[in-house]
Amino acid sequence: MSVLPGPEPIRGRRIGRRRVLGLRVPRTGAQRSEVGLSRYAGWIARYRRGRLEEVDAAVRTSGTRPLLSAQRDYLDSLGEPDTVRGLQARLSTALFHAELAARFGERSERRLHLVGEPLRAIPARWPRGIPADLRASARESWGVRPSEDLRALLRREVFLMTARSRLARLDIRSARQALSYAVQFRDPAAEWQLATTSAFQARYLRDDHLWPDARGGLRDGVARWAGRFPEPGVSPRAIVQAMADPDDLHLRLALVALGRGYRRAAVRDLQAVRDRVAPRLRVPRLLLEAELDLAEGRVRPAIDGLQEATRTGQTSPAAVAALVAALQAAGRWDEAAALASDLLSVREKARPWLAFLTTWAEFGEGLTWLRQVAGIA
Amino acid sequence: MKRLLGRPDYLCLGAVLLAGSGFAVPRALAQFRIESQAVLVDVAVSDGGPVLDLRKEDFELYEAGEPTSFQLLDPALLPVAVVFAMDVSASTVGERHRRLGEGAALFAGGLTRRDSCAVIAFSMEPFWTRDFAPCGADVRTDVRAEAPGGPTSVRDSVILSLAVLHREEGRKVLLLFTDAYDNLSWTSDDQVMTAVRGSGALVYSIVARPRDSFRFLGPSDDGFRLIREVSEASGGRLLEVSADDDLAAAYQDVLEELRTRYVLSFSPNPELDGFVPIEVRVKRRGVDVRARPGYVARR
Repeated sequence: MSVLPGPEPIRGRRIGRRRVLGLRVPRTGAQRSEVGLSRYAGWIARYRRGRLEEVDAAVRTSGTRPLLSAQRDYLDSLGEPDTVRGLQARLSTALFHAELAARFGERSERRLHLVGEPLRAIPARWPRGIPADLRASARESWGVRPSEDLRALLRREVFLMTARSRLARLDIRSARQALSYAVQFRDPAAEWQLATTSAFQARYLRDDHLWPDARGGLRDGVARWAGRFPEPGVSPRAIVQAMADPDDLHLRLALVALGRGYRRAAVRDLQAVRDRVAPRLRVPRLLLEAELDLAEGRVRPAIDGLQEATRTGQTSPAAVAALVAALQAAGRWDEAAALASDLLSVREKARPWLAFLTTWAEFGEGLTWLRQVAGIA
Repeated sequence: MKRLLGRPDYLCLGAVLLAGSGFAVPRALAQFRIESQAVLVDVAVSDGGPVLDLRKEDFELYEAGEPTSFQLLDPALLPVAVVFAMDVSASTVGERHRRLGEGAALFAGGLTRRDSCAVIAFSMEPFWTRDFAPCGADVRTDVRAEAPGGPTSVRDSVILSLAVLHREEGRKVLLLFTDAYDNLSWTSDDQVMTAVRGSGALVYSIVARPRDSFRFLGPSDDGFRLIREVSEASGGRLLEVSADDDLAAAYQDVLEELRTRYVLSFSPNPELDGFVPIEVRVKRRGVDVRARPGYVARR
């Protein structure tokens, strides 16, 4: 027993000086690589039993490199990938990291490797033993070609889910990275989602070099969808719903044209939008029309349009900010002040323009099917 | 007191000038009378440090290139309205947020109860944490009242902050804190500049670059450039802070500069319309003069 004075040990451990002083204890290399095969396997087992929240903190505080190392050891310990058990174990591992990110938040792009690595070993052919109804639903719900290539299908679905969870948190760059894994098989829905994300990034993050990508992606995605999907309504629902709506497409193309400074193209696309658009498109349409008006020096019509946008009942901060800016430009500062003050007093606001720009589907849309394939309860 | 609708640059000061303020500027001032419509020009003069002994005859004011008559006001007699626009996005959480509260409290504590302070926090969207009320150290709690996090809408927030400042009397100051990384504003750079030119408010920006853990955000040079231009176009300036420990000192610097500025007042030429350039000159060698470069006139 030590004779040195010091803090009492907790559960038999002596408290270090740094801990007493409230200092962060620096991690050593050994500590960072402490994940280990058995611990990692325990996490996966708990995930498969529906106890994901129990492991969140442990995974979150582990470095990416130790996690990858432990994951590699774990994958090596699994059986052959072309068996049902081998497939399910690998898919579970990918879903584990995808769901952690979706539920608890994760923005690191490097951690996408943790999702991608387990999927690399999955064979392209379906192993014997997967129930026929799961294979059939894949064919019906996710198009024709991807369902023939199991690895491509799973990769696309898992990364689409991961991307959407990041989009929902407006982690745009990491969402783009996740989508880039999903689109490599020229899938129209994924490509369309990537194009909408490019438009968002170009607009809000001022990454102007992405405008051409956004335009090309929107057109290509819709063209591919038109050629491959027999009818609208197939999954992913929100994407296909939007792709099937020409008004939605024209508004997005108008957004891109305005971003690139191509006013004539914006006029053409805005004129192509039907008078009676879907409710979710009303505010985006008014915002874009007002932006065109302002770009062409028509301040009063722009203000009229933006006032209509703020009267819709789904007032978005974007619409109010645009209206306040237009009123300021017109010298109508008292109105601008009153409007701004009203907006600042309201805390929770609907944001239809965000949904319009990103159009993400629910994270869990494909999750049930994926879990069934993985054999997770 | 009467406000002239739609004319942000024009103030009807009247009885306000009879009231006192905590700003004590050691300089000789001419007697003055304020006309009902006046443009205020807040001027900082320095020669390495603030120049405090200037008189009215040391200044020259040019409106649209022509010399114009003006009055030199005693800033101590003008109320100050301050909006603390606080970036509370995810990149400012933790210690930085605590330091922000301390800095704002320090600043507000240097004002008087006659001056008014408001706090607008912004991340995904801007919102009041404090509407205009007499200033005091309690601003600290208003700055720290909200859990920070999320993306940032700097442009939209600046536009909305300038709008609400319009309602206030006297000198108007927007004190912006941000990491200059805007990833969620709908409005454009041009719209922000238009708002600044038309508002007549001083904009001081305290910019702390994103911390290491937010390097994934990428460079914020565009945002930094815009905020610098906004600050300079208002007659204010940008202060870059490299460490969170320096935040309080930055707020103190702004407070000191605000205390040592001169305020000129002139009646605008009613024939002019749109953006009217103005220039303040000081008849003394080697001094740096900072003031808004113009105002927006509406016939």
